[in-house]
Amino acid sequence: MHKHQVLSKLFFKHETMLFIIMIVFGVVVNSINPAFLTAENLFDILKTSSITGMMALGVLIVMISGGMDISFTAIATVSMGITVRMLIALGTGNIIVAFIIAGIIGALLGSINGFLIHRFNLPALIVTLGTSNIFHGLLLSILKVPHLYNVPGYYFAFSKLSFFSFTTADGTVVGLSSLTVLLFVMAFIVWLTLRFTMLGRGIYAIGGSREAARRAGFKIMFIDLFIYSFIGFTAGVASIEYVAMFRIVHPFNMMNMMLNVIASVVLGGTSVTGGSGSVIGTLLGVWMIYMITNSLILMGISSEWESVVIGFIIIFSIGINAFQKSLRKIEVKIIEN
Amino acid sequence: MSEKYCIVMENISKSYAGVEALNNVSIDIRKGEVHCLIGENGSGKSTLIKIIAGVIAPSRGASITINEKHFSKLTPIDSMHQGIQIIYQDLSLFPNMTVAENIAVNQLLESDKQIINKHLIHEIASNALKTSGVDLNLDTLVGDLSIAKQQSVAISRAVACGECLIIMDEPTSSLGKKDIEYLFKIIHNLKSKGISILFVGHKLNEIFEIADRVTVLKDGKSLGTHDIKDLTYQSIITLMTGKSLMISNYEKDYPSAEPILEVRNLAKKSQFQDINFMLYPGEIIGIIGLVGSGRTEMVSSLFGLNPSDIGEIFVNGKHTSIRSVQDALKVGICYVPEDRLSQGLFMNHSIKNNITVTLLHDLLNKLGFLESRKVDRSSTDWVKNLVIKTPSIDLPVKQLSGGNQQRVVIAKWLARNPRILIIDGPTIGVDVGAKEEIHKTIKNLARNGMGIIFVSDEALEVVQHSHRIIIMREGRIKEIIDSKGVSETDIFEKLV
Repeated sequence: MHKHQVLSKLFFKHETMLFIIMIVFGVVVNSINPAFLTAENLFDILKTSSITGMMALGVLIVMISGGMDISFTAIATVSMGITVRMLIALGTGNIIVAFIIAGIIGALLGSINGFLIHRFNLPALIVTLGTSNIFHGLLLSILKVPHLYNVPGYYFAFSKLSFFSFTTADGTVVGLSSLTVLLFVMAFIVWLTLRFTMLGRGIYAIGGSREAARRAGFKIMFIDLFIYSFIGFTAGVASIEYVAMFRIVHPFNMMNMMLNVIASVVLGGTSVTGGSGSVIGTLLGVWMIYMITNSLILMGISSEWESVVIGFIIIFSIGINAFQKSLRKIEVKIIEN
Repeated sequence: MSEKYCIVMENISKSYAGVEALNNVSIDIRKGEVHCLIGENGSGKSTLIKIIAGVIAPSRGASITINEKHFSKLTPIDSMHQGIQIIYQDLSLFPNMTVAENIAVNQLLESDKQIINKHLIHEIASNALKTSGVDLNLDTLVGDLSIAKQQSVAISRAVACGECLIIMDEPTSSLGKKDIEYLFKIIHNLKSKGISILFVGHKLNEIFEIADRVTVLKDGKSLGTHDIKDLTYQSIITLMTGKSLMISNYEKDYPSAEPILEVRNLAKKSQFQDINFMLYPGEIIGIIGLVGSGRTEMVSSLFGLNPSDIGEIFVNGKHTSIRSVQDALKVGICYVPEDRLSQGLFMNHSIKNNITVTLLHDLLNKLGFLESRKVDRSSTDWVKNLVIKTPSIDLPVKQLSGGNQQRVVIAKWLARNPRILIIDGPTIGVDVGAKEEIHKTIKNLARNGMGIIFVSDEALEVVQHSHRIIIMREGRIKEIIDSKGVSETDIFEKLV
């Protein structure tokens, strides 16, 4: 009986459905182009999706709490712009210092959001819409030349690092990119926090019912500040990963990543209204999006179709979510009677 | 102070900007007793319980003794540490978290633990469930549970750290009879474990069933604490309202003319079947049935909100087809919904806008614009007719008390001069004094020839305020009886 319950619980979970869809999708694409399910390609997907994944972890936390933040790409762009230039001007630096500084800048900018939203009870969407424009606008107006093409070598060197490398049958060397490892580490920390700390419970509680959380005695101010600072922090870290991968500081490219990040989180089963979401779901969501992009290229389909396919999958996944919810209600009714 | 008392409060006062919410109130609660706190809206009940829970501080000079410890005021932490827990009317649960997490959360926050795990949560939760005597699956999401089960979660949560006193604010307002029995069973269980319950309630029949002692508040003052044995319905109402409102069974005093409404063979798949009855002008019919009996579905079909599959409706002898609200309005049928908050009123709009919203076409000037003078006049008349207590017709309705809100909804439909008025739950959430007033209004309308159908959950209400009673069960009419000579207990028996 217990085993059956475990199975049925697993089936009802969004993450399981998503995982199954991913496998089916992978098999189908692979039948069209066998280059898809190769170690090289899969590890490449993992690598290119890490930047989105890092930011998605921040968005996950914000969404679970029922909030919203559309300024994180602006925060990333600003962190990137300031950190790289600052370290160049100082003449010293390494990748670790870059990550730390960018993370701190991001957290500080994020805490401004958190303060405004909590203290004045303003709707998060509007506040972050405003700060997004302010942060990005300030960066562009202060920097006469926002692009930076000559970045120190340690950025790119970091992205070249790989762990657990091995050689495939046809001679290529494949390994887990440092960027992916960084994502896994951050994902693990977030998972631990959400599952095993009162802070994590507090984030879910606020997402479930802010008023009930206040009455129960959760420290709402602390949690609000943490949430928005954290997404700022992950944005800052992601921005240095961007520099590491692309060897440039770009004032606009990261801004365009916003929709993909949010889509990944939603695809992963996080409710936009708050109260639910998981790290596994978010990671699967990110990988799914990049699998689609990657597979379209491999199948020779023009990239314009990318948005169409992602759009369909999002609607499909929300639909499955709603269906599973109603299934759960029926199950509870049966158990109660 | 002896072992007998859980909490003794004396000289409790509280003012808000010159308005005295509480004036020198004293109250004591014994260990293991169910103590009911009753009073009209605005009598100071919620202020008092918030002071006990530590959410508000009383004015100087207050004395609170809990478990032999003295306080002049309480903070939420003090209250919690002394074993006092409050269950708000909206339950304050987290629908996205499991039963176990909801139950354990208060205790976890109180203990200030930062690292937690599922085992710990389950342990706290199962201990609490043992005390409250409730049987629930720990991993179900609270949002998936029925209201009654959710309430048992809220109670178990309170029990996890409320060893002394649990305050329940109007716990039965959204429950059916079976769920209320379930709740009372839990309360009895808690009593036997020595936990006191402070029960804030409205419905007198429930209070008589569950209370040991009753404290009546009126206008911020306490009218004393009485043993339930020493009270009757009449004496409580007199205490609460200061008036001796006569409660008597309603007499048939209308001429039996042609029926104003006749319903034949009304049916809708899986909602109701075989509905046949007649309504006479000047008659009040009370429909009663348990939740799930199909009563709301059936009456909404008469208003076109939920058109039936088969059946015939005759208004004043003429066959009419009611497939939409417009059809119903055309033949003079109006419907005051059960959920006035979401279906009956535009909460942020003014009283006058709410009252006149269904008659806008009557209040236009020659150019087709709304004439504000006509709007004002029309609403002022209705406010007077229905005795709606408000300083101004421009006040948004959400600032009115429950009883007055209900009157605004009724005014809105009366303004259309209906032949037949259907009211679903006329006195839900309304205190005893206002309840009587609303029924007085309904009886006046009937005397003027209107045919009225009201749906209620309370046997007492239908027995006292209707000519005939329709008892519904599982989608069918079980019985139609005259209210004369019928008692509340007769109805209870027929309901099950």
